[in-house]
Amino acid sequence: MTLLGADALLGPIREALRGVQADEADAHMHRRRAAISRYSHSSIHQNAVSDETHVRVRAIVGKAVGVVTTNSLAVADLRRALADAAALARASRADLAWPGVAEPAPIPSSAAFHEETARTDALAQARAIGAICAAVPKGMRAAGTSQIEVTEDAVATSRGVAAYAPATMAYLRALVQSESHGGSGYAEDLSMRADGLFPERVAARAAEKCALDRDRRQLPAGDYEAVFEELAVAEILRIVSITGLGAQSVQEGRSFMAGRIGEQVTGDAFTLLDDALDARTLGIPFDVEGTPKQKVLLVEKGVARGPVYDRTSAKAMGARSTGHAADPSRYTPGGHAGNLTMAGGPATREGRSRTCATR
Amino acid sequence: MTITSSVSTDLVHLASSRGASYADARTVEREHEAVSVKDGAVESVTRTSDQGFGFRVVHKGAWGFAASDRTDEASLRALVDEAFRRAEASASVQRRGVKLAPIAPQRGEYRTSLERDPFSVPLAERIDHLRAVDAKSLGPNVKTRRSSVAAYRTRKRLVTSEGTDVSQEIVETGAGLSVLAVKAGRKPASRYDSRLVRQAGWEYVEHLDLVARAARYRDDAEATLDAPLATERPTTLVFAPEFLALLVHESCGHPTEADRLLEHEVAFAGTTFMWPESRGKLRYGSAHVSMTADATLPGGMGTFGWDDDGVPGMRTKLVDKGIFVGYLTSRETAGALGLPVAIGSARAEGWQHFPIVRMVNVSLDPGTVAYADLLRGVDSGLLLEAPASYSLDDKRQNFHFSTQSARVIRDGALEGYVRGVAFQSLTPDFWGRCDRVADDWELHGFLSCAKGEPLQLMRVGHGAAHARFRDVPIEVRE
Repeated sequence: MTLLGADALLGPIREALRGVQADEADAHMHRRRAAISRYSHSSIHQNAVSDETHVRVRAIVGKAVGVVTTNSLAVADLRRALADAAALARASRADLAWPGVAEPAPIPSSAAFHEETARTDALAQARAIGAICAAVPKGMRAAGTSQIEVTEDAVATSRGVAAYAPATMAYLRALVQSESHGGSGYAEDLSMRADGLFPERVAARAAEKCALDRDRRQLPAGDYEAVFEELAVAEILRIVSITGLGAQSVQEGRSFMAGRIGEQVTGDAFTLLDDALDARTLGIPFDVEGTPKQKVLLVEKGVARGPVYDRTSAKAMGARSTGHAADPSRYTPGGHAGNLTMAGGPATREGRSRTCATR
Repeated sequence: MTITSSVSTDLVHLASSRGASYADARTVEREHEAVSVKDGAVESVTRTSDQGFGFRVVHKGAWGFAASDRTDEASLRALVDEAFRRAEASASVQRRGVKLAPIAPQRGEYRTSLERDPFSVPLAERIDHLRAVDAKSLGPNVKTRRSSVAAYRTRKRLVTSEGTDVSQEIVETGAGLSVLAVKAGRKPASRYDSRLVRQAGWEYVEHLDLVARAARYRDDAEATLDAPLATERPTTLVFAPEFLALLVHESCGHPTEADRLLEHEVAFAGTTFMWPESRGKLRYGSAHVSMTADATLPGGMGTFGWDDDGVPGMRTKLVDKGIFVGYLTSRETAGALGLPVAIGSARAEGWQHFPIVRMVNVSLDPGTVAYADLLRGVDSGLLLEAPASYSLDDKRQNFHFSTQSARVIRDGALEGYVRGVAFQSLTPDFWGRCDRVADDWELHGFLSCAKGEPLQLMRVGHGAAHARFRDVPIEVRE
């Protein structure tokens, strides 16, 4: 896939912003090409590619904010979107908490894009699926997904921000089910590079779990010590990121951190941070407002250190934006921690499991 | 470039001439406006629009789909090429070919019937309305208040290689309301509803009487804050329609989706416990429980003229007097299961999505008893008004729900509140405990049923009435 590039994404909006009839304005452009092949019973049953661009503009008139989104990059359409946003702002009410659009600030270079991955075609995705299906032992069947995604994000503001970053993502999933004993096993690979996916290893991991998943028995209700594998921990952290790591959830008293910053809130083995510049988190270096993303220590050895902020929540709470404004169509406002890293500890997973098994 | 019917027709003919056994072209334009007020101030005013084109082929017995928002002639032809490449790649890893259930060519138009176009309501009127709602949400312990109204318009046209050419314009209007009460030393209590949406005009917002509803939500949240914990025990539960709508969605709608039994969703959304061999035999619930899928229901969020396969909206029984009898099917899944007709459940969120099996309006059929009489049959029990958190297994057989608001029923009358109520059950066991359904059936709308990859958020409708369930073990958590 060919990238549109910084000029194609930023040029039209910068031209449109020059004539905007508003006190200030900003725009976030997001282009996404997602190629997704889904399979089950060792057959591909869905094979789709979509290429879409979304532009979200905000126009501010006397602290009132109007928001319009469109999927056209034509200058005339962007001018119309900005004019409509300004009209909505005029018809709206002032937001006294409005923090202003972002000022230019140095943005670290991005390492989230891999050109070879962007060129991955449908046959290569089918080959990866074929490799999984072939690697699954007799008596088992596989289902899952291959996904190659290329994104381009850009932000421009009437104060001069002009940020652009491309990114790639490659993903492969297998759920292997037993034909005989009813067990199942799950494995996935995720990388910014298609050559970071290993279909045979994904199949082997899923098949190994499937083989182990037999003779299930009902446990009586009670308290148990349990080992959570990485994906299970990640899923819990994903929910925590939605419910408790954004500044607005702290401000509203909904977060586990509310009123407890500086206090011990978890066991001392737990340290959590958000770092979009860690290549493993597939992040880009700025948020949808154009603020550079900062590394944020959220919980340190069990002590709550603070949430992530966007510009509005930062102003409301007397802080500075940490660069965590997120797409409001997907996340609640106030800041979203989308590039989480949990610090590792000294235990090995085998040792942890043994400890559990002997209790 | 505006994509005309003749452009779409030319493209599907082009695909047929290149060997596709089936092709369809779908153009979709979407508009959305939303206003949100938080704590008395305007939180956001948003207008969204997008348009694009999706092209689907069956070639060498396999699906290929490509979609783009670039609609110049060269881009559209490139899209056809891309759809063929995807189909050929699919065919290289395939054990069974796509077989579509037959459908006669369809022609026509469908439009939502409405009294007042929600897009025409002045912004100031919408804001003033929400401010009045917000004012009613104020309470001594209410910390955060939110209310919103939204309007949606979708125009789409489907042209297929089999001669179907249908266009639709669907307008939906909705509102959202939430109240969060916080008090030192107590667990925060929230009361909210994000499922107040209907295929209708602004008249639906007026019908909702959001001001009165806001006062009720405030009272519920304040009362729950100070309520005692419930007592763990098997008890009689009466569910409000709002709660049952979600239970129907999760425990009947999803497991009757035919793509789940073909394992198309096994690695993502899950499968089912309602297998073909149990159709007509499986006791899903008591004889009081019948459930119907109906894409023709006036005002339903799952109502349409034709689905995205071009199959006309229709009405189908899923559960009949407690027995599982039917599935939600697309042409592909009906073909794979050897069913003679698809029931019109292939739906895509937008132009960029591949249609998959989705719910339409899946509802619990109404009973004949009045709600007051149903309550009178409860010596000791609880009225659960709205769901809070919930989880389900991948077969939709085992579920766990907690509630926002639980009222005590004693000797057939409502008393105070309790908090911390949750319950876990198996689907057939739960519906098997239903001993009465009231006649106060009402329709609810969901905006974001999540399924598929890429994730598609589908609008669906669910009707339900108050219903009574005996001896349901409840859990109590702080």
